[in-house]
Amino acid sequence: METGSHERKAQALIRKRQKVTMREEVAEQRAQLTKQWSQYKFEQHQKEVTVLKKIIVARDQALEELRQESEDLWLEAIQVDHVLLPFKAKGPVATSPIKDYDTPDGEYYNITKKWD
Amino acid sequence: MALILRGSVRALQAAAQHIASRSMSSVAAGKWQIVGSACITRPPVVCPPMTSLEQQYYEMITTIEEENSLKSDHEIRVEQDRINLEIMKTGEADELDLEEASKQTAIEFEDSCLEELKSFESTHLDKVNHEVKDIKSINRALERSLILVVKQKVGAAEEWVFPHTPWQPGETLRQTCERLVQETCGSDLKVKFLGNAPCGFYKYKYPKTVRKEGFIGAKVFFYKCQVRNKDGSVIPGTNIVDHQWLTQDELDTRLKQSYAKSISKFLVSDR
Repeated sequence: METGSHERKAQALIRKRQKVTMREEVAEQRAQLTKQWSQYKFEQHQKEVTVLKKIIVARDQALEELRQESEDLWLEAIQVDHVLLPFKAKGPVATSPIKDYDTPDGEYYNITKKWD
Repeated sequence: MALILRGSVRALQAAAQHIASRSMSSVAAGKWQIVGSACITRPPVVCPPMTSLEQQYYEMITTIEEENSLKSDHEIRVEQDRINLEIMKTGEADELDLEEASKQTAIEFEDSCLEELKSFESTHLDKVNHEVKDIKSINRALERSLILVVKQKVGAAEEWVFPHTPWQPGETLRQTCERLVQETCGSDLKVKFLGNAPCGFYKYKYPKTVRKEGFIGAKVFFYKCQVRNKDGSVIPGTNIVDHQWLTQDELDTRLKQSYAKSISKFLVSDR
């Protein structure tokens, strides 16, 4: 463990970058961009919250109408869905998948320790 | 007064339910016919391109990250090679291990990697950017989410709607929608329903000539579901004339105004 920390300190010295003095305009621009980004993200979040509220209202209205029609169906509709969670979904990818692409194998490095 | 009346009617209904079995149609034959409908969505497959603000911010945080990072093995190799080159130029070659110097330099390695990437892109780029124009295909508009719309008989006329089927006694509404997906889209499309509760409803009255069996009109309850296999295809059922996979903006052109209004209450836009 001690040798590990010595190694890490040595590596940190070798790999240290030189500090680049930043011009004032660049620092200004970065602060400006950060502010714009936080505003953009806040607006996005507000939209998401509004959409969620709208969906919940629509669902509750539908349940109310269903109850007026049939109490039995309403009771079954408000049951907890045990199959739904855990909900797994594969998110969108950067580029569309290539059909029938033959993925090549990577390189294997054998790192088993040898004691002679 | 009206509340008491309603309460007593409900008590009567409850008594009737106790006497009659659940499968009897008297349980649900109020004034409106119950119809189950499925809003089948295919979520986006590919990320949309970044907006200009997102691009600028991305570039800024990558430069900040690089400034705060330590040098990688590759960068140290590049620096070492530069030093070795200086040594070789000045002529103090005996200090240098000639065997190591004849190995591929770091910059040469980087160039060969970039060339490999270019050759990969040129062979596969056309396959990746293939845009599908067929409006019936599930693989169109990969950056957007698609919703299935079918041409089905609604009363006398055929109209563009979400697939729907009347509720049959003896099943829950969700089971109605599961049966509906099987009948309308075949067994190739695997969907996952998002919960037991309907997400929206649409009420419409039958024309006076059709008001038999005591039904004034129909209440359509929508259930949301997601397509699970992206290569699944729709095998249209017998009562489906035509089907299309549409994005949310294209829906407004296809559907009737009142129908589209009830739909928009529960659809999540992806723009």
